[in-house]
Amino acid sequence: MNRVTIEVRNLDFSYGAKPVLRNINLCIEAGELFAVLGPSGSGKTTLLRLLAGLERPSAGSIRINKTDVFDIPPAQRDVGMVFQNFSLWPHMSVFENVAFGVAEHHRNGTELEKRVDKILKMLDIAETRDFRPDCLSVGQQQRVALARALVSEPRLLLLDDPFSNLEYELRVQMRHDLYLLQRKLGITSILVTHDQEDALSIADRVAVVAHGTIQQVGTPAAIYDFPNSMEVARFVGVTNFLPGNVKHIESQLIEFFSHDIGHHRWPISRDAPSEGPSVLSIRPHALHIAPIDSFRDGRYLWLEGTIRSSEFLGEVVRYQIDIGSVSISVNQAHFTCSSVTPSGTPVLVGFDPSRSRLFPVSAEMSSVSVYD
Amino acid sequence: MSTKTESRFGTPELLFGLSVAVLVIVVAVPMLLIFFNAFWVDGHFNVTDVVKVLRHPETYMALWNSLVLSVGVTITGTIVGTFFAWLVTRTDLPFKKTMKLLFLVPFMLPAFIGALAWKMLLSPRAGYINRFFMDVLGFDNPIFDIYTYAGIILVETMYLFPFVFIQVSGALERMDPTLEESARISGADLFTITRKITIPLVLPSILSGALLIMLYSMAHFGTVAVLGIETGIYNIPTLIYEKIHQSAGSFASIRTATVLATVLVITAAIILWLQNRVLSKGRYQIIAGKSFRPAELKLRGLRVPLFIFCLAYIGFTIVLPTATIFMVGGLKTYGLPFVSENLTFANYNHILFEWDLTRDAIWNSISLGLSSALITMFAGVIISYVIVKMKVRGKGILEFLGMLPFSVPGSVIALGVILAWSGKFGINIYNTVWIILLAYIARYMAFSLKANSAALEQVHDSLVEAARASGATMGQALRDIVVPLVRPGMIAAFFLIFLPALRELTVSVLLYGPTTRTIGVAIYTLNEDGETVYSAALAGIALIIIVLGELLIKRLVTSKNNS
Repeated sequence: MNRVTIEVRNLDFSYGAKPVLRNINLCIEAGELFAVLGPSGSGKTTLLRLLAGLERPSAGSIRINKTDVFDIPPAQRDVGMVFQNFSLWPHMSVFENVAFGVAEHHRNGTELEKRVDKILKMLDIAETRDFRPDCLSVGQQQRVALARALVSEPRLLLLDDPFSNLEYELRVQMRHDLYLLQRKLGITSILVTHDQEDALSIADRVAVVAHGTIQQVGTPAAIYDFPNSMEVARFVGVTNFLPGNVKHIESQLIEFFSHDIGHHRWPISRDAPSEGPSVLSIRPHALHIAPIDSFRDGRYLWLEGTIRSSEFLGEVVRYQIDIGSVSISVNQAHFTCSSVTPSGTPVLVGFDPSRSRLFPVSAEMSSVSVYD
Repeated sequence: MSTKTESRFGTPELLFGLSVAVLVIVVAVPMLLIFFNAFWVDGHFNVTDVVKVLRHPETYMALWNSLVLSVGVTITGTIVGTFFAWLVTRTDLPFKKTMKLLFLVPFMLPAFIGALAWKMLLSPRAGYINRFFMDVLGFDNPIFDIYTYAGIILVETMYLFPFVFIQVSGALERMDPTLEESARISGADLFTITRKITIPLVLPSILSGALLIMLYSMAHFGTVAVLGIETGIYNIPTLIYEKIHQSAGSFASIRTATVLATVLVITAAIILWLQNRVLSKGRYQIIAGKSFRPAELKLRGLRVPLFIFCLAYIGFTIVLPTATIFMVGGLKTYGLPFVSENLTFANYNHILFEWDLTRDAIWNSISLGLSSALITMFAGVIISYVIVKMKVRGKGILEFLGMLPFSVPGSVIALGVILAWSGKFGINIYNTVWIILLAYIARYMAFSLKANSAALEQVHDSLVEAARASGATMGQALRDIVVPLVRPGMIAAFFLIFLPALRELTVSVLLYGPTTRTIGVAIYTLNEDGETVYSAALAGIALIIIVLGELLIKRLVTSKNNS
């Protein structure tokens, strides 16, 4: 099987004087579906282009299967790439588009034809063989781009935000198909995307990239549950930030203080947060609402607040709740016929501290709003 | 509330009628008269006579020359334009941005002034370069004779290649670089990528630029008039000129001219139709979504030689002819060597302040340019408003009539105007400025319609509706919403007309009378009369006016964009 590992060491890249990527270190396992998730302008596409050989690193090294590829041009890296806008050649038929990738190596006509037809069939677009790309639906174009990338049986598949041009439903289906295909071929694949759902739903592991550096690498669940910075917590999923101050009371006990919610203590088990100005990050679904006079279960921390507004979203009702001077989102599961609590109602908001995260804030950051 | 509830025949219809009337008088009548005169003899429809005229050696040769010259210029212009476009977009040539601007300069310069300069440099006996080679270096024969097919093609190429250059460099810049990158990843080398991806993708742009060169060259008067007449090389426009001018309006010569004009119109229509097909069928969606710079070809050892070549080309085609014009314009007598005791400002002084002929010409060109630009700009706004915004039946006619002059060469328009307004309908304005003004309006209407309808299409109906919903009357909505948004289009239209009108030759040379020479005509006739020095001096002044005008637009446009 064509499985390769990829090692990226201390990689830097700049366009002229403008640094795009700084000190990138990555290790991608053979056969892995690896996602690089980041907002636009974070440098994620550049990383992919460096791996493809379309750009040369300013410093650092890229090794594919332990071979440094610095001097190897794209054509000899044996990679397939799907571009964001597919980049299908508009003057060639689907067959010619796909065949172009092999044509340069295999001039034997019938063998080439067999190979192209096989990949078209595998991707379920055999009937589009003689059409021009502009006659195809977006989904079909996507498959042609994938066929062109895979036809030469590359060792590594690079996907540059391939779903961004697709409608939501098609996108869900295409990424599931991609997942199945990747599992079937076992080809090491790197998916660059700005959409957390794309990354979290199909990738084995995800690297979150922002401002040209890798913020965190981990399985989708680890990234979601244990983001290692405010940046990652904010980018992956929705979360509430409560600014405050952390103090260590005992080795396994901390105190969090904020003007809005007062003093709260809870035990910690994992890595201890640092003392000083911090923000408490809690996902909306980790919070739940109870009537103001109900029994306060000791496993939870309870905050008193007032419902400001509510949004009915079907599966959940999302409440906006004022607690002191801050406002937080709470997702309450909706069941048939359960009613929406009206605005202005005083409520208790409870959460399990072990499902929250604490991030240290530097002095200047704490003065800036953390609710954007 | 509304004053025009009886909108059966309200403002829209009135405007529509007015627009149709203007276009019919200015465009349709002259055009129809040409066809009428060509095919209608003694009250009968007559084709055999047309064939007879076409088979006459004189006309036949003119058709042949037009074909040879325009095909030649198209081939060389396309090669030169494509090569330079590739050089400034896809290689690491030094100072690419500046070079790109320099390659557009020939567009500003009138080709016939260039032809004049090359005549001074390369005419077989008197040309300065040829004389240098013969007198100083001892050559027996002139090194190059400009009065030949090759000479004419060479000079036209210098001024027409930007048509291809603009189209191709635009296409190469807009082209999505990933189209080439994906081929690179697929294992193709640069040669294969160029052959199989890049060239097929920009081919529509190359062809469309080539067809523009062909259209322009086919209808081009100036260069052939300056360089060809000497040795009897006539193309269609110069033969039309010859027929009208020399034979003082005899019926036979008018007929020959109308037949030639008909051929010219049909050829132009075919070329434009082809261009339209190339553009609509062949233009691919290759515009980049997210742009990375395309890979630049490293010229390596060729980088400096190619850069020097570009500079030499620019020096040879722009600097040398321009300098020649100014130097010859300063000579005491044509043919003297360029040494300081032979140079004087007296010629410039004479044509600017003393000589009525040239002073009239400058005044005529400026006043004709301003008035035709103003009239055409306002007429263009109203007509495009009817075409773009109003729901009137039959506005397709307007569009057709307005765009017709775009495909009709200047000499044809001039001929039509002569046929229509020299007494046929009781109005004789031949030999007055008014006939030139009418012809200018007809010729430049298409420019105005293009600029104005482009601007009007940007003004979505909902903007006016929103103003009306906020309580504005129709008049207020037009004044406060539409006009400010369309103003840039109007200004663009004004300059698109004013600058070409300043240097116009093809139309005015057929229409001028004793006191109605334009700058172009004056330069041309002075040269014909052997007043080479004054001709060059006036050409020099024309160049200064043109460059100042272009700079003024640049300033207006950039200050608009910055505000």
